[in-house]
This record gives sequence, C-alpha cells and structure tokens, in this order.
Amino acid sequence: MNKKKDNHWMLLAPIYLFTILFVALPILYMFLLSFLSRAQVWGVDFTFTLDNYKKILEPLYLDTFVQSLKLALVSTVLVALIGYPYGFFMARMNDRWKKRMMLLIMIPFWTSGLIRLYGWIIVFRSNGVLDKILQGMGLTEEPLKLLYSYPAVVVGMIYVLLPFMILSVYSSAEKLDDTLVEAARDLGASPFKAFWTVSFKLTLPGLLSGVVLSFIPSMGLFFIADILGGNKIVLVGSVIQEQVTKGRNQPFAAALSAVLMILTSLMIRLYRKITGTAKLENIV
Amino acid sequence: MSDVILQLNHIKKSFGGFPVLKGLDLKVNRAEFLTLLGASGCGKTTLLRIIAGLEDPDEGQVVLEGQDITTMEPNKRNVNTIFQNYALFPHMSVAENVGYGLKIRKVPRAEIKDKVEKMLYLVQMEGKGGASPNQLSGGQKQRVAIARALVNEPKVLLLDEPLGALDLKLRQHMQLELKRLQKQLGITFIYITHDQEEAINMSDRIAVMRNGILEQVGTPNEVYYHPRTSFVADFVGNANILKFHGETFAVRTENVLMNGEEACVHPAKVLEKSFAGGQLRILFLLEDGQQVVASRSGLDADMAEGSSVNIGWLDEHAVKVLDEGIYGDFGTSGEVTERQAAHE
Amino acid sequence: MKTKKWPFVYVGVITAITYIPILLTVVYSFNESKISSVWGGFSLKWYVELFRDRDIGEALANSLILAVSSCILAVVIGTTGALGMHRKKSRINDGVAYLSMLPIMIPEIILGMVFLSVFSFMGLPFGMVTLVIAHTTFCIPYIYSMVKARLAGMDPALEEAALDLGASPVRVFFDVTLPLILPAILSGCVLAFAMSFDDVVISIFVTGPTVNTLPVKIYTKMKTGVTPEINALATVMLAATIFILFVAHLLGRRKS
Repeated sequence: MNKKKDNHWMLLAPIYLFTILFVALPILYMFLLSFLSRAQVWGVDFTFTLDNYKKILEPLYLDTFVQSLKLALVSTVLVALIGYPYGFFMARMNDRWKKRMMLLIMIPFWTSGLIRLYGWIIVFRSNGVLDKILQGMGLTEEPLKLLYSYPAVVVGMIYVLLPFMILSVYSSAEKLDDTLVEAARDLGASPFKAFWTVSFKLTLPGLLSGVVLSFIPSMGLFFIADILGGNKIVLVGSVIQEQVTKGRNQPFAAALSAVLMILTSLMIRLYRKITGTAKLENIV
Repeated sequence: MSDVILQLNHIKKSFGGFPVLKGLDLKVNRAEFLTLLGASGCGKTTLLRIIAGLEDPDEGQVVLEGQDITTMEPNKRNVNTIFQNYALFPHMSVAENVGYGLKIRKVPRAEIKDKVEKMLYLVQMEGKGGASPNQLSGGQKQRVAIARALVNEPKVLLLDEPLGALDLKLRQHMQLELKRLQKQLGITFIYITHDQEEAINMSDRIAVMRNGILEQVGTPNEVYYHPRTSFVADFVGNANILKFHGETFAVRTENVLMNGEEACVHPAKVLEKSFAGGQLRILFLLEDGQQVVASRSGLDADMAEGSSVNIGWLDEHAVKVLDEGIYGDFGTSGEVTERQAAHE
Repeated sequence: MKTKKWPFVYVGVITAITYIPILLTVVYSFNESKISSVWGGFSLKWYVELFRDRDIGEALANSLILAVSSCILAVVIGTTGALGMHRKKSRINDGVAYLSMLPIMIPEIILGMVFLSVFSFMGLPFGMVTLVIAHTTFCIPYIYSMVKARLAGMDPALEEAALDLGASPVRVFFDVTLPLILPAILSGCVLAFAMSFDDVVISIFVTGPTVNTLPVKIYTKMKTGVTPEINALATVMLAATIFILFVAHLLGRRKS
C-alpha cells in the first residue's frame, strides 16, 4: 500500500542506525583488531599481523579452548538429559499444574544468576551443607572439598542453563497432539516405540534449540567457573576477560573472541540445517 | 446366522465420578457396518476408545473373536482407528504414514512399499505417496487416514466422526466411498456419528446411544419406522412426540395430514410456516396445547398463519413409544434440539 | 490416555533440587554467625547491615536506571524496527534484522569484549552512557522478536478495516496496531528488563571505575570473600521476584 510506504523509512531509521553503529561496526572492528598488534605501552598498534591467531595455537591457549568446549559439551548434554524429560512431562500435565510449574521455574529464572550460584557455595563449601549431610549419613568422614572443583562448576552450569532447556522443550512438547501418539499406539507401536517415532521426533526442534541456547552461552559464562571453580578451571571466557582487563592485550582477546564467534555461528548454522528453521529469531 | 466378531459386556466407565458409560452391552457382527449414533457427550467416543484400548473400562469386558482383550495394550489389538482429526504424523510423508503400522510390525521394506501403493490406489491417492500431510486437502487427509488404518488389515475398524470436518458435498461423496471400501474389503466398521442421515445412509445396523446406554439397536428400517423410545423417534426420525390418554406416540412430520382427509380429527391453529432444506414446515398448535410440526415438499401450502384447520394422521403412522421425557434432562436433549434446529 | 505417576515424581524431585540452594540462602540470611557452616542463632543483623550499606543502595539505583533506560530505548528502536520490517520486506532488511538479533545469539563475553575495545577506540568515557548503549543492544532483540511475531500473526484486514472506516494512518496505528502489539511489547520488556538487571558479563567490561551495577557489586563481593550480607540481599531480591511473579500470575488468572 502506498500510504504505508511513506513512513516505513522513518520507522526503519532507528534500528538501522543503532544496529550498524553499535553491532555491525563494533564486530567488524573486533575482526580488524584481531589482526593488529599490541602497542608497547598502551593501546593498539595499527600493523597487520597473524601473531594473535598463532598464539591461540600455543598449547596453553589451545588447551583452554578444548577445556571450554569440553565443559560446554558436558554441561549441555547433562542439561539435555535432565531438562528434556522435565519439559516433556510438564507439557503433559493439566493446565493448572502447568501454570504452577511455570511459576516455580520462573522464580529462580528471574532471580539473579549470581545469587542463585551463591546458594551452591553454601552447599559445596568444606564442612558445608552437603558435607554435613554425607557425614551425618556416615558416607564420608573427611570434607569432600567440592567447592572449587570441576563437578561444582558443572552443577553451576546446569543450574543456570536448565530453565532455557526446560522452556524450549516445553514449548515444543506442548504443541504435540496427543492423538498422534494414540494413533501410533493404535497402529501397533509400543509405548516406547510411539514415543521414539512420534513424540521425540516432533519435539526434536525444541530439544535442539535448547541445546543451542545452552551451548552458546556456556562458552562465555566465565563467572560460574570463577565463583564455583576458583581459578583452577580456566575457560576461554576467563582468558578473554583477563587479556582485556589485566593483560591489556586487546588484539589477542579479539582473536580469541573471533574464533569463539566463528564456532558459535557454525553451531547456529548446523542447528538451522537440522531443523530447517528459516529465521534466526525462531530460536529465541 | 450372523457371526459375532466383537462383544462388549456390561461396559462401565466414569471420569472423575461422573458416569459416562453405564453398563453397556453390544454385539458386533463380522463384516457389518455398525453405527453408534448419539449426540455429543453421550459416551460414544469413550466407548470407541475402550474398544481401541486407549481407555480402560472400570467394569466389563471387551471380547474380540472370543478373546478377552479388555486389558490388552492398544498396540497389541488387531483393531485400528480413524481419528476425528485424522492424526496424520506431520513429520512423515503420506507413504510413511500409511506404512507406519507395517514398519512397526517389521514387514520387509519391499512388501511395505507394495502394500502402501496398493492401498493408496484403493483410496484414490495413487502418486501422492511423497507428499507431506500438510499439503493435503481435508478430503485427501481423510483418505490417507483410511489407508493408514486399512493397510494393517484390522479385524475391526473404528471411525470417530471421520467426516465431521468435511463440507456437505465431500461428506456425501465420502460416505459412498467408505461404504464401497467396507463392502469391498469385508472389514467390520464401527462408525461414530451424530448425524442421523449419515447413519441411515451407510449402516447395516444402528445403535442409538444416549447418556451412556444404548436406547435401541437395529437396522436403519427398524430404528426409523419402529423407534422403541421417544428419544429414538425424535433423534432418528424427527418425529413429533405426542401424548394422548396417558400414552406416548411418535408421528413423523411428513405423516401429519392436513385438511380434508378422513383422519383429520384434531382441530389446530397454524402458528408458523417456514421453508427450509427443500421442505415447507408448518407448526400447529393443538387445542390441548401440544405442538405438531408437519412437513411437505413444495414452496407453500394453501393456509394462512393464524387460520384454523383440522389435522391428523393414520393409525399406522402413530407409533407407540416408551416415553423417556426427551426434553426432560439437560445435556443431551438440549444439544439434540439445537442440532435438529440447525438441521431443519 | 491413561496417566502415570512417575513423571510427576521426576518433575517434583528436580524442582525440589533447584530450590535447595535458594532455600539455604534464605535460611542462612538469618544466621547470627558469620560462618555459614555454623548456625549461631536467629538474627536480623545482616539485613541491618545490608540496609546500611550505601554502596549496595547506589548499585541498586544504578541497575534500575540502567534497566529502565535501556528498555525504553529498546522499545522505541525495536518496535519501530519491527513495524518497518513488517511493512516492507527486503534482503537488506533481513540482513539488518539478523544483525540486530546477534547480541543475544553470541556468547555475552564476545559482546563485552567488542564493546570494550570499540568504546576505548572511540574514546567514550566508561560509565552509565556506555552501559546503556551496551544493554540496549541486547534488549532490542527481545522486544523486536516479540513484536515481529505478533505482527506476523495479526490479521492485516484489521488495519485495512480501520482505514476503510475513515481513520487516518496515524489513528490506525494508535487505535488498532498499538493495542494489538502492546502485550508483545510488554512481555518483551519484562524479559529485556530482567536480562539487563541481571547482567554481569557485559557490565563488567563496559562499566567505569565510578559506576557499579548491582550484579557487578555482588560479583566483586562474592569474589573477595564470604559476606552473609549477600544472603540477606538474595532473600530480599527473591521476595521481590516472588511478589512480582505472584501478582502477574493472579492478573493472568483473572484475565482468563
């Protein structure tokens, strides 16, 4: 319609301006930065170099990358294993219970992530609640020293990421038509077979978007490793933060970010290929 | 002698304390087309789900070919269902949908392909095997659902208002086609509908259901011409239910005579005339306050609203029925009258 | 279908586990002792300390100002953007839409790093301005995507009907379009607000030496050592969250 055409540029101007100025150009700058070198004292030297990328290949940093990916992978798999049945079962409850469970999930979800992690410190600390319980049951004698350990970090990761998984599985499981499962049963499928061939296949997009929603942030959640892992577990996120704040080596941090970003976009690509999602927004 | 394939013995089922089926008995013969006719909420879908194994009855037995299958899992029963909304798997192609039951039974792939093709041909969907269910029209989805069930050669096929979502023309066409398939394959069909025309057109026998029990089971002729109760007379035959001398009679609208004929012994007033569904309907008020509807083909009759006439009917057209107070209880009867109003 | 019990048990157990650390935080906020493994009796002293702590109050105020201003900016940019893109589809628009969604698609740490380097390159002083810019970028996607989805589900005949009935395009917007997309804007806002109010990673990178947000303050406190004050703060924030969610729940129920 002509009348609508008149003002659509005015409507688009803010988002164009803002996105180009504060998203597109900064990201371009980051890529550019990753090919520059660090100035002797302060700031950036505008000379082209590949050193930053070579540095990533040094065992110390390569190891960090592998560790981060491993932690992200372990956390994501566990989150999927715990969250999928949760979201699936929740979608099968009646409306009343659905609303109640949603509220119960949302309360921790809306509460500050940091504060929720703080509770786990109380649980895991030496002679903390978990130690007390285990000792009380006679299962352990010495404190387990769980705080600042790998398992504590994994628990923290699961804890922060679980709601994303549950909600994304739930939203696709809720659309699942019960009569499809009944039809499968009617056509001779056992309960497991009906679940596998119909329910699971139809809720797979929810599971996959849950996986993407967990995996991507998990590579950058350095504060979880910081708080629950002490400085024993070093992740890419921590290295980037350190290089920027303490090391003052922006170009190297940019190179690390660039690699992380490429890994992320590969993940999203893969996800879109599997689910055939045409639009990125659908993931969110 | 007819050969019983499915027997329901005193089936009871309630949901949250509310009884839906109240001790229902039914025998279904081999290769017969049996229709469960009733208004929504009468329990017919629950009964179907019990036969399919999707619900367990609280009491009673389901016996298929002499074997008690009451507690048998739905996947173990040789009974298939056509669901109301077709329940086609959206993530599978038409051919995969139709072949699903065979694949579950580990039928060799080549055989599945062969059977699926034959079945698609039978339901006039040949060449559509690669399509996705989302691309199909309502009638086509219907055919795929039928093919998907029939390819498993079930002993009994259950159909839950399968034509409800289709428009009138397509519905009439599909009625004929279903009947043709049933005769051709010789499979027992148990068909659910709330549409009495559909029931009369297709069935070998009709079981009229109301409030969790069967009111009458019989051939379309029996149910139409010899209704056992006032409910059946009204629901199946659109009859006037009239009370004289403490007895209840059903007189179908087309059998009401007007003016001049010998049987016209009841003085009445013309209340209203209307033309609907190819028929002229005239509403009379008898002197004792009962209302009578007469129907005639043609556009108009030679009488004005408000005029007084004599009406009547032949003795053989007034069928004595058990009075069940069809308008007496809420729920079913309310829906019945509403539905009929929509129909007429 | 026949229902089974064990799914309920599973959901119940997992939910209970997720509440353990939260409940412990609440319990220990009333602990007299400074050491969390020892119960020193009931006390409100950490709450007293919390309310006396000026830094925390200031950080809370900063966080609120930051979240509100980012949300307002994001509503304007995200809503107009969604309307514009809905009216005219083009490849460039799709590209810009993709870019505007990026901030919530990539790990936060990258965004933080990007902003830090760009702002220092541009010579912008780190503080509230840089915080608002950074937060607005990741608030826009929530509002944009919600409004876009609502517009896509909206019957175009509604706007045309209003035009047909003689309303000017501006009136059409205020009488028809806006009321219909308002719920989407609001739910986008709620999400965006929560994300901004809770953000640590990006804020750490773009905040200046003089401005602290609440999560950044908590983070530094948590890193430097055990402060039971955080338990008290957590309990207060939890109570506020529950209160808000409960009101929303009740309102939602009344509506339906």
